[in-house]
Amino acid sequence: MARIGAEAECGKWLIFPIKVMIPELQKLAKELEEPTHLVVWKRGDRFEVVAVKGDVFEDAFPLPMNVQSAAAEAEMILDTTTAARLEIEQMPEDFWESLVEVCYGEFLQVSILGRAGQKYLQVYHAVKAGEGHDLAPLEQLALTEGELLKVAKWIREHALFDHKKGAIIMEVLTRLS
Amino acid sequence: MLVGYGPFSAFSEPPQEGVAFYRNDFALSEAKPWLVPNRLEVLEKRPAVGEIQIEWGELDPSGFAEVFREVSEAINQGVIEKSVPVVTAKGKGSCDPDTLLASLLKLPKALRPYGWIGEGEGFLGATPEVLFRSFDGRIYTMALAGTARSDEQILFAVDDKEIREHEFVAQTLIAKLSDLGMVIRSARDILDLGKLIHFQTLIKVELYQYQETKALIERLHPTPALGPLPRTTETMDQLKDWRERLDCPLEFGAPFGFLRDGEFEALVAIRMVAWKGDEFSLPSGCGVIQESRLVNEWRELALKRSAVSGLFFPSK
Repeated sequence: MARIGAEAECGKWLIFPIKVMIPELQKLAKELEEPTHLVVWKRGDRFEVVAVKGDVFEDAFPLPMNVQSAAAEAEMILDTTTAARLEIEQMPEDFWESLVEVCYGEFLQVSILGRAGQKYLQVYHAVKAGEGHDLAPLEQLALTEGELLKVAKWIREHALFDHKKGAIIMEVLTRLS
Repeated sequence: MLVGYGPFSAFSEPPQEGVAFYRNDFALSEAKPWLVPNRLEVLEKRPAVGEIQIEWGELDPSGFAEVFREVSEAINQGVIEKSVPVVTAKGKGSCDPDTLLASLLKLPKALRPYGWIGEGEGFLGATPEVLFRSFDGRIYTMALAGTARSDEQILFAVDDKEIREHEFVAQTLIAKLSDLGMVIRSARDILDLGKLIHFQTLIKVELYQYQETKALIERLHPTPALGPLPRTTETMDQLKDWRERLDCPLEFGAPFGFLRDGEFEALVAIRMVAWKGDEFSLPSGCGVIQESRLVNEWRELALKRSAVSGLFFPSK
């Protein structure tokens, strides 16, 4: 960067605490020895790995051996619960839209799931958890009618839940509409 | 720390999705404060480059004394209960932004790095104060007011003037938030920042319904920790005049935030160094209430400046 007070102009940077961007992944980044690209779903102060990106998006369950080893070295457990429950082929095309890309040093590239993908996983978990599930994270997304329709269609087309969950699905979608 | 690289796309409204930084001035007069970066990177290392060569000028207390008298008069007349004048130390010289950035990479946990490096101008800081954080239907905020040296902790804990100054802030925040949801206030605590200590009260709100980020910023900024009490157009104008007369950087005390898909966190831009060309500014503010005395406030300002210069310019 150019010296302040010198004639050349500085580049433009904005700086903020890492806390807003999954600081735990810094530890993982230090242990990786080859380029790795993870897609993560940030949920409040927690996060899950939902996919691994190579030429295409691949299932995060099970995680590649190099990532598992790096996580073990970093003494952390990477949560892949949702990836274990859903097949990557089931995810609709717009699931991968508006990913936020963050570079963590030399070997780790992270894509944070955007609003487009979050809506599917948030609704999926709300229905799975059933009554009493906190819908605040979903309300925060302030989904449009069109977005809710996409989620409803996805749930139906892939038969993600049996008929017993019908009432809950209706309740969640109605509360959000 | 997280770094957003330009060129930035600027917007007047927060984007519906993705990420954006929020940078504004104290008066919230920026037309397009939402800045979407070209790319994001987590920065862990930044070696200091070269020496810092800044000549700092002597601070003349007369300007502050005059403003202090006016603040006290306004308090005595019942116009305000509190305001926060800002004194700015000035320096001239040069240094590499990497050297300032390197200082921000070894902060204690209670201090949060923030800043902006523009073309020939910028500011960098390490603030202990969060304006608010909102996510999942909750707001987290804090009252941070009342200051002393760390070695005065026992006396500070029972100092009526400091407690009163702090309670102005805590109770005003609660009043401003109570119609939005269920407010939960923690006990008043002492935040230890090494050289400095502050009273801190954490406040959580379980929102009755979703609130727009922009509306929350306007509702909460400035808290009486940085702004006047009561906050009206007139008392804000008065404070603006005092700040201008004491040459305070426009960004000092402003909200500085980061948004990601509806989750938002705003810091209060204090404990900063700002620069334009070869001119450097080191501002510090003090809360003035009825019981405040000029000498004590002048001392508090120096203490805060010393904490900032100790961080960025250890040899100053």
